[in-house]
Amino acid sequence: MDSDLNRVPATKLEPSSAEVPQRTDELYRLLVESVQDYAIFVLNPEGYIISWNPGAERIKGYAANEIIGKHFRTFYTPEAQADRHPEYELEVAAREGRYAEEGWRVRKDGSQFWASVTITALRTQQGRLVGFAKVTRDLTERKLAEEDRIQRYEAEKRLREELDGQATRLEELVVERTRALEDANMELEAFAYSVAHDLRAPVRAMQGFSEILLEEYGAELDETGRDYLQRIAGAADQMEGLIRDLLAFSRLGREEIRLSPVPLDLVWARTREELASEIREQRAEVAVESPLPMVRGHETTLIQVMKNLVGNAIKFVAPGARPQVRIRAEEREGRARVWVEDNGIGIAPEHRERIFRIFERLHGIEQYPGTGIGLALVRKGVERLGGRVGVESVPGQGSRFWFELPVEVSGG
Amino acid sequence: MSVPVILLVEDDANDVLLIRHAFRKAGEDATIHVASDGDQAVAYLAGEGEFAERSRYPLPAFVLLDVKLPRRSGHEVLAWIRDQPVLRRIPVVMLTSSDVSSDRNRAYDLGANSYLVKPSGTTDRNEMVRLMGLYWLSLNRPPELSQ
Repeated sequence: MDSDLNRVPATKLEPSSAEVPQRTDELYRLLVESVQDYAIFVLNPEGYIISWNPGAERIKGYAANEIIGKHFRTFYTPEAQADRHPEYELEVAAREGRYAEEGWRVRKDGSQFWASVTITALRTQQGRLVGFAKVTRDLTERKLAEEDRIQRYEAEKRLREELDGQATRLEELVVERTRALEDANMELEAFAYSVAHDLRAPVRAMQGFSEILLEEYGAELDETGRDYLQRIAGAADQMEGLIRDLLAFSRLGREEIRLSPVPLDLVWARTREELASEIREQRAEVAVESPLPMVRGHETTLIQVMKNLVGNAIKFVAPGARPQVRIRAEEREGRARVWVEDNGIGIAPEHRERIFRIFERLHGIEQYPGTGIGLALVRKGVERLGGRVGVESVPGQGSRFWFELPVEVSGG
Repeated sequence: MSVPVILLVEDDANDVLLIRHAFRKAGEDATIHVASDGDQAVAYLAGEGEFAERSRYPLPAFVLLDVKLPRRSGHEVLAWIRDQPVLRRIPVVMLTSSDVSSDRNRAYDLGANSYLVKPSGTTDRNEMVRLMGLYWLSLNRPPELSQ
């Protein structure tokens, strides 16, 4: 092997090597021989291998004596050979002086590796082509890492796209379901509204005729007959109240609410008018710490909220007790909290959430008449205005209901 | 002066009875003619079909008009009235159980003179009918309806 290498540059490559010092020639030989990372070998002008270094043996698997004299197409895949790619490479190198590429090459054992190849044409000073120097590096690991990276990148990209697609589909689904739910909800509210509305006429007839009967024909009935008639009238009244509250509740959900500055003093003034007879009958004391603030809300809704809270405060007192109600407001962080405090029977802790649900009642109708809708209406109303409601209470010592709304800063 | 006539457009027979009763209670001496759907109301006012004889079915001092009616709604009857050359002057008082703002606004947009919600209690109903009779039959000065 050594002798081969020694012989090649001296005899075939450099006919004028007489001018090259023997010592430099030796250095080159050592350099080529000690390189392990590069296959460095020489082809004659036709592509036959005429020298081989340890790097070439390491990378390609052939010993020098196995490969010297063979055509370099041996290193190519059958497809590349069929395409005459090796010949093409030499043509380019001969024409342009150099050819470089990366591609798959075949080892002695048939396995493939990713090669970085440079072919350089070797010419005499006169320009005669005497062969080619071929330098090859095994970049399989880099190539695989790169391919792996590309694959991973593409897989990641696919996953991301799939995820985006799923997210979009999910969003569409949410929109669709929300719409369906809103439709169902609206249908239900429309249904509740029309049922309640249609129930009104027969109840009105029951109320009307039983009252007329009592008034105009009461004298012709005995005590029991009058009692029964009174029960019919009372039941009809109760039903009318239930329908009225149901209608108000469903209307709260259906009607468009436009927020505007509302002075709570005005809300209280209207509420007091509507509750005038209850306040008088119960001899209730209602103290208001005015001025109450201006909030961002909706007048009609707020009157309903206030009416139910104050109405409850007056209603739920111990038998014989005189209702004392205090209405006051405090402002914190741009929100007004309105308190309606009473001296009533109070609410046990376990009931404080329940009472805000529709149709929830804690007392018999005889004890404290009502529909079970009032506080549900309060909560729905306040929430539709973007606020919150709550209650603090000590049983036997009264309740402190509150609702909170944004303060109107500009004053409208 | 002859007894004033009111046209009550109402499909609920109970409500008709209760309103008649309330007028009687108020001591209001008026003849109440009833149309039980929108088409009948239009026929009465136009003097067509069974209402052709004007001496038996004279034009009313005012119309008490329900909103929810069979065949033709109160709003449609109102629109028809306001579309007639002379009849359009007739006072129309809506009397309905609907207190929805859209119903109310539509009625006023179409030219209703008043909008009343049917009270549930006898006392409230009697009071409402008494004031209504007082206002529309005594206080209010009617338009000329002869062409």
